[in-house]
Amino acid sequence: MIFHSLTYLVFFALVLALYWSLPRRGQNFLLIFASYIFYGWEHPWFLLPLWASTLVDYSCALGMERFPRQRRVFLITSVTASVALLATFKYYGFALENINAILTHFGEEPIRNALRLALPAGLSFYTFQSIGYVVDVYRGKIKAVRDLPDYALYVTFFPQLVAGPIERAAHMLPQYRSERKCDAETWRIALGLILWGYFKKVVIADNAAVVANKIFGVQDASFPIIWAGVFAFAVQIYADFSGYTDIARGTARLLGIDLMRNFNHPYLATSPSDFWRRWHISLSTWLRDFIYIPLGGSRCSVARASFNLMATFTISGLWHGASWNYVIWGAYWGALILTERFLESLGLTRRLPWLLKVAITFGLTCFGWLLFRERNLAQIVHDLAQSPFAASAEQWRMAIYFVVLVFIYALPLVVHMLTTGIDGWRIEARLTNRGQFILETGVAVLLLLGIVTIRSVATSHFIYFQF
Amino acid sequence: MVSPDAGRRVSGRVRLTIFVAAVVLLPALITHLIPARRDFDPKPINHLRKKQPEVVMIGDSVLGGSIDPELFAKETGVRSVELLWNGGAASAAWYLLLKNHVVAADVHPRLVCIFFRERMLTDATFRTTPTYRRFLESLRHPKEPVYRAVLQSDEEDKSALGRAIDWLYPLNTRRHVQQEKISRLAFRIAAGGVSIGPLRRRVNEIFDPVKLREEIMDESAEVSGEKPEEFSADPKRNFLPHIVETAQKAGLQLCFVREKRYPLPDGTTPQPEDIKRYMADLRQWVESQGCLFVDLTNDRKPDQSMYTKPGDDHIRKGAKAEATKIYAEKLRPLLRQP
Repeated sequence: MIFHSLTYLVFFALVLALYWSLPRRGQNFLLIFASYIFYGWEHPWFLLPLWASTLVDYSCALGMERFPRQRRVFLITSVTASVALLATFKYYGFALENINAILTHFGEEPIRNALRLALPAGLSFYTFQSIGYVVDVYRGKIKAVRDLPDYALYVTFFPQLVAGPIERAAHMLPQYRSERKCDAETWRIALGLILWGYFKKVVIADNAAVVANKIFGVQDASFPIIWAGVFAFAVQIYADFSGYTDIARGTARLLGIDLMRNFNHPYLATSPSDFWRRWHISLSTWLRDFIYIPLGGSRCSVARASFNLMATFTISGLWHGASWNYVIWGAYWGALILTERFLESLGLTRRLPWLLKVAITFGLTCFGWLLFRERNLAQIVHDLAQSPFAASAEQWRMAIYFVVLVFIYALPLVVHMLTTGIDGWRIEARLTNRGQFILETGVAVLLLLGIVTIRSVATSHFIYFQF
Repeated sequence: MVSPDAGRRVSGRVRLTIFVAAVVLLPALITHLIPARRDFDPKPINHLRKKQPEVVMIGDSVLGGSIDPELFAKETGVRSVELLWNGGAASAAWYLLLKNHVVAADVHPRLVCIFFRERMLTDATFRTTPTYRRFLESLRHPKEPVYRAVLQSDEEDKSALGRAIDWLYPLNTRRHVQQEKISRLAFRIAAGGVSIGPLRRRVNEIFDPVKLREEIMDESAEVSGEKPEEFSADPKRNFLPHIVETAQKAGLQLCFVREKRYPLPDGTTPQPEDIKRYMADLRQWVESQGCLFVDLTNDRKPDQSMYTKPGDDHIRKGAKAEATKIYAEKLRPLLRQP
């Protein structure tokens, strides 16, 4: 089931109506049941790996507490099972493709792909969430959950199951174990958040997607057209993913559950490392806590710290998809942050004005989006080989058209970014309580008006569903 | 005595009620105040009545760029010729133009020609996307059962909730109009004060299917499972039989004119086998219905020098007179006596 469908609206209205009439335990059971319906709606078999992951990790965590001496064995079993799940569904085809390329290079027969499995939506999200839980139990940060329904709900909670945020057990489990409250003010804020999420998805992201998809479908696009497409994609992916997160957070709030913030105006970042503090925060903090720091983090030699950073970002790239362009994208970000550290150590970045830093970081981010969006390495090389001087005035005008078109749809996003993301420009600080209410209501009216009048005619799945 | 907590709760509830009511009702009110659809434009009917043309030609921008109506009239000896063309028009628009303009004007031209290329006559959905819908609406009456049936308008497949939303927010079904306005604004800014037409054409050209990446073509073929489409005169699937029926009922002589696409240096236009087969079937069918069929594809002229640029099917301005004479020569023998 997808958030931006009428089926989902009916489904959620029913869940919500039942939910608040039940006691806490009944609410948990309802959420689990609803989550399974939500997840298995189109492909019921998607539930099998989800159940397998839930049972294995639940049992391993319990095993760690019951048999402390074998803690490591249970940890390895659990992590191996999660990685095996990812490897089977996500990386098997990619690995085989590369093995076959090597075999063919040496004149050997390629191996036939006997397993052609579809990737269950959100697999990378819930496996990472489960690994996080098991590692936290292993480290003694949290106690293993004894109640299977509580754990099942932690893995399957439908607002965040398919595309995050990748939550931590320490944040979620106490909420599932306590009575939930939701007052009228929280409802109003939650509804506003959901509306904003829908607007970002169906108005901004889907309209930008029309431009991006068209441009990335053209064979010989010139320099300005390619970069107009990259700009469109930059808008699309941010509005799409953060829109999903807003809907998820708003939905969860209506259910009395708080989900973490996953974005903090990433296009206002002033450096590559700042970008990752603002973009997909739940993944970057997960990678920091469960990969970068265990590898040694930055408290080691410069060479080792650089390796740790590159390894973490390369894994991040691979997490996004089983394709070389994602690996390159991850490595690109690792290299950017290493360069940033080097320039910082020379004191070169301090004197740059804020706006220039934001512009440079946005430019670097867009370059990264080109690597992310183009799946074919030859096509990336082709795109990068285009010269701005070889393009005609007409091609520049076409590119301006695409950029302006996307910018018009993205204007509310820009206004939101400027009025809530920059210190000193924050509009809420200047308003009275009543003024804020009037402003929020007015904005919400405009958002719904936008949804019904300029929502894209062609809609697509959320981009991060495929990861 | 009311506790501050209770007071806050009440105020919260009031605020929530105002919020929900405003969010649900204000957009509904606003969208009801904006006219729900562009009205049918009757001006062309009056124009046709006044002009009483002897030849009517219907097509897209290729027709508009190929024929000078006055020169054509002079070359063929008819009193007047009317061109009904619009850039990006196709079979859905042609059906509406014939029914709602030509037939509605009650004019009786000696010949009504429909200019087309490839499978345009039987590809019902071609050029009916949002970009073209506004023009189509200016040709449509509020009730167009054939149009709706052939295009299988999604309004009929909607759930009760979907229909309720459309009722509450009528502009929900007319998003393409606002999107078209936004697109025009972007074009105007990009064109920098000059006419947006050429820029718009160039933008459409870069997305021509022949310029798409192979994997995109492979993917779309895989998704749709499409093979090259065979000719079909199924009235449920395309407008061609409705065009023919409309003309027959009004006593109009129809002529389908296949335009010549950009040729090779020797003047011939390559034709894949499936297109040859399709054209033979199309010709056989339209002739069996008492219509005429003219095909310029195998003629030496127009040659490459007459086209705007390689790969483009439009005739350049300087060659319009020559193209008009070519068409006049082809169509003159078909003009029946008044």
